[in-house]
Amino acid sequence: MFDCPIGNADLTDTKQLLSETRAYLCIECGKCSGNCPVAARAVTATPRALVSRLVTGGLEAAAADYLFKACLACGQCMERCPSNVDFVGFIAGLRRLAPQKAVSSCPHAGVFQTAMRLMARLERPTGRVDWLRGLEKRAREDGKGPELRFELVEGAHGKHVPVQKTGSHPGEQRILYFVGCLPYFDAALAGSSGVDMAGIAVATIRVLNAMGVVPLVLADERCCGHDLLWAGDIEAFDTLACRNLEQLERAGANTVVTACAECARTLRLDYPVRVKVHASSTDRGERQDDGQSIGRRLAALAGSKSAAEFVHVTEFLTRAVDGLNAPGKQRASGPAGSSARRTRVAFHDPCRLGRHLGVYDAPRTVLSSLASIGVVEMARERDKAVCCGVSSWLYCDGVSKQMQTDRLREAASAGASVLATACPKCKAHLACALAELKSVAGGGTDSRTRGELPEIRDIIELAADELATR
Amino acid sequence: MKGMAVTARFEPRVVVFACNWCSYAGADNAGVNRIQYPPNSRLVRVMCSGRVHPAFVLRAFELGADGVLVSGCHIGDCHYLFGNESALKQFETTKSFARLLGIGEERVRLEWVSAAEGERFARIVEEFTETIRKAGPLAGSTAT
Ligand code: SF4
Ligand code: SF4
Ligand code: FES
Repeated sequence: MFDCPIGNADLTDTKQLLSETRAYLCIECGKCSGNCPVAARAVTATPRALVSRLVTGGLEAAAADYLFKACLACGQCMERCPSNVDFVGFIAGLRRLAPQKAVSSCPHAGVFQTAMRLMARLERPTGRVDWLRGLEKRAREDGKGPELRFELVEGAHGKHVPVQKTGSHPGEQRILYFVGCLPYFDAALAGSSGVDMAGIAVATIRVLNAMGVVPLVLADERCCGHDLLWAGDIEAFDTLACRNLEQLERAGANTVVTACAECARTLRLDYPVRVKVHASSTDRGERQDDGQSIGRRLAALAGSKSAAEFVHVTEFLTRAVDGLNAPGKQRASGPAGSSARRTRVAFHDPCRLGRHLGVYDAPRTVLSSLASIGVVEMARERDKAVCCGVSSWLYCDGVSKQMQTDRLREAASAGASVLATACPKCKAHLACALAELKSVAGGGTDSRTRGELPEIRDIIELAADELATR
Repeated sequence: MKGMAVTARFEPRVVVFACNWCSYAGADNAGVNRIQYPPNSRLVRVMCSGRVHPAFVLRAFELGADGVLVSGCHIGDCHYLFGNESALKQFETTKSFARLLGIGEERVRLEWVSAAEGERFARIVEEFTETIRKAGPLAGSTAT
């Protein structure tokens, strides 16, 4: 796990960036470049060269580098660095300092990042509740289980949202499901590419319900800010963090569960850092602004009593396997236990869950507890897993597509018929490449692209499917 | 304007995307025929309504628009044959985003305007401007 200090201080200049990320200690060995999946395919851009470009040419030159926009912050380079350079912190800080921002230029034309900035800025009641109601309807119709149960927590514009008091929480826990940007991904992807995003939310609520948890859900939840943070927009990030943290505080949630690897990283590592930064600059009396500024509001959260714990749903499930009626208890006795009938599933570690948070075992524990599934490992797994090829909807090109294609083939050659992941974006990106490969394979003759490519699912969808067969 | 009492009246900022081959010419036709319509709109010419990705519409809102109108050739008339059909599809996504963000569906509109329909263009813009005026400023208070 690396707790990179991307928001650690009020980053002011290049020198500070170089020293805080230890980039000054780079011995130019080039090991990072050898391990970087982007550099491997776009040989002129390497992490090592980006550092030296900044040192010799300044911010302008560094921001013109291909890796400035194409770096995935996946952290593979850091696995090898003998000088322990925090390259991921470096790229995030560089994007923060650069005069020209890293503009989202993937084929989605920046729609998500624009929506995220609008989520930070607009003070209007959102349409999230309707989307959540849509999930209930969908679950009612798909016949895969009982009605979805969750408890809406009013936002600042609560008049639109009657709070139902149906919550039943084991013990003293108030468990909240942080949905993330799934509604937006759903809106953009369901029509054009047919990638099912809403299904992840349905499955998450279903599995939580099966464990006896009726999760709280924020009616006015905002994007966690991950993408804007990694694009260098720290102001918008702070606003989003503040709006979410205040709502979580009001909801009195003490365990926040998410099915998104990026939300998990952001909530667990980056929110506390920003609260601390603002609290200490308020303490030092450095603040000139009024009491309503985002900085002050964040600082005020430092003393928060609820101090929620942020977990990925696979961690939550793993912890509960013993105590609750979680999937997996019937494994040994279940008729589906015969290995011949099990679906072979490979797990794709999302960078934010794996290298960023160090969570490698939880998803594997969940998978192997599903009776209908046999886990296979790919050649590059755990800390060696390769990124899904796109980060923060920032940039996507042939290099990304190659990375995705290679990953799909890797899963196929491991014998997997399903490639499972634990991050909605990994699912979207891998599914996009899969659709493309299949359309080529339709008329093509390349045996590697015919027939045997795996289906892409989220791990929580697999768990929910298994519940449906019980 | 020193000394004058200025009553801040909300003037909506409307962005109109118009395709080069029909709607832009339609707007031109309105001008040539001296048909009056509210001056609140900023016209952005695009080659085809199919080019107007939902991201463009959101970006307009981010940059301060209170309402966004997308216009193209009538179905069957698109210079690129089916560009406007793709515009129609994309516009569904645009509406979903507008709903989700709380911008509201009434602030986005898709209309077909041919090169000969200057009158129609003017009426649509007029009516849309009034809709947005009623809806009020999207964010904060805008008096200009
Ligand atoms: S974080 Fe990943 S993409 Fe960026 S330089 Fe390191 S290995 Fe390459
Ligand atoms: S691996 Fe570390 S020390 Fe070696 S070139 Fe890369 S950043 Fe420098
Ligand atoms: S050219 Fe007018 S809509 Fe395509």
